[in-house]
Amino acid sequence: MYSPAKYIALGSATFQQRLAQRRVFYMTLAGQMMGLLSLYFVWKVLFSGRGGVMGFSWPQMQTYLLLTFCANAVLGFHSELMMSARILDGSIAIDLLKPLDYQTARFTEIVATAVIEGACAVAVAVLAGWALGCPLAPADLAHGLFAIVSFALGVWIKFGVVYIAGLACFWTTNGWGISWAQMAISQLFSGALAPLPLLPGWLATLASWLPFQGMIYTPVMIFLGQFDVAASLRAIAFQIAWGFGLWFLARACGSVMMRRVTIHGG
Amino acid sequence: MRRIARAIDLYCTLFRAGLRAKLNYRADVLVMVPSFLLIQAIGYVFLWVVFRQLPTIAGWSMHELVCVYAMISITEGIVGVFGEGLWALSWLKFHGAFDALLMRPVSPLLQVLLTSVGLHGFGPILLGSVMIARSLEHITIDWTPGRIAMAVALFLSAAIARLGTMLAASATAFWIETPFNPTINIVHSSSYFARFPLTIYGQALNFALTFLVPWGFVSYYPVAWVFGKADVGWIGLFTPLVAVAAFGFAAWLFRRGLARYESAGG
Repeated sequence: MYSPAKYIALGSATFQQRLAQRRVFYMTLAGQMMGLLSLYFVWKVLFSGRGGVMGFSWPQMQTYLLLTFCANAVLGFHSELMMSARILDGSIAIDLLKPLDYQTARFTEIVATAVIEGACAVAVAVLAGWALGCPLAPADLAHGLFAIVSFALGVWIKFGVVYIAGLACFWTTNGWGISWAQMAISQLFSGALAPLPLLPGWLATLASWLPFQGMIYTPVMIFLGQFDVAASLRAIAFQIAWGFGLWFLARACGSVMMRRVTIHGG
Repeated sequence: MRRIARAIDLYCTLFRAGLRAKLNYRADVLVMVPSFLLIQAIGYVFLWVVFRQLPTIAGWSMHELVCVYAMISITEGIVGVFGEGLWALSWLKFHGAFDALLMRPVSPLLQVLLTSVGLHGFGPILLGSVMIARSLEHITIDWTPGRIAMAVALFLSAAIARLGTMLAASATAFWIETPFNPTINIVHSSSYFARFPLTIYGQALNFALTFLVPWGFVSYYPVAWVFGKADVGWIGLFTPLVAVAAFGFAAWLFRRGLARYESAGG
């Protein structure tokens, strides 16, 4: 069940398939760029005439926005709907017959897709950063490397969140509704809406315990050098803990769901 | 006159049928309504977070901008409830289902609009109304009968302007072969700009949002008039005109598209 060769083959096939279906992704990216642009102007107003806000300088905030855009592009709405669709249209029945672990197979597909999504988004972000006069660059090499690890862990955490949310499709045919709820909660607690220190005290405290911060806030803070090396390592350890936590929670929920499907005859 | 009366009668009949169809899936409604509401609520949270750092943005207070955002949200809800089907035009065309619509002795436009009744739209309508009511307690306006009447007229015009804009974007499906219409997604995403005073966006975007894709007239300008904003309030008076123009253009575009339509694949 766990021979790597099978999953590598699946990943490679998914990569090629997604590469051939770029159009929908570009469309989503264009929509997200709109959102980014409107946010950019709002934050610009907030930062104008001030040295900084809650420890962030304007160049840092611009970088924050660009990296949030990249993180949001990976494992986006479309990928999420494709995962839900397997449950909703019944193709999960075929997937469960394959000699692949269902969860690992979905994760492999997500990673393969993330490579394309990430590459496109980073390309756009680098261009945008250059155009804004705020080139995308980490605080230093160490932070840059830690940030790459952290972003990768962020994708793992995001997968856990999206996968678990998607399991709700065993109860309701409304994949869109599940996605919206997941996106709203993730947006708030991941730092996509605003850097977590800007949230009211109780919300920020709650966010610091939840896994969502690992999706955006943690990797971006490491990238910006806002976390020193010790803090970066602690944050990465927290991400790893939640990564495993969500993975096993997903397995537990998944097996409960699958049993329901079998017992009720599909 | 009779044609219009018949069209309204047909609309109500199709609407009731669509509503009954949607309500058959209780679990879906129970998921979709709160989820969509959550997404809209995040917008208000963002305003709250931003205004913890600033007293005003471009001369607008938080309560005033809550009303601007509420207009975007409420009109999105209205178009969702009464015209959700316009999102489905490309899909209908691609899968040949549009041909079935054309064979009925009923306006294709009406049928497209009512392909689906977006019950989730009631959430933002309700939430937006509550937010406006609460915000108005903090804003001093001289509510004369004339002002109230004008406010209602502007509100209805804003909703029609939105419907016209989205319908025009949807009608571009006649020139696109894919099941997904990128135009409608991009136009919808560009509505995010109109959550904030257009003056923060610079001349080019300001022009685009006023004259090209008139999101400014869905929220900013009509609200500016109601609040008596000296600089842009007078522009709000043009909202009914923009509404008629937008809807007229959309209907014309739809008819043009229909004329060139040659069945699935055309």
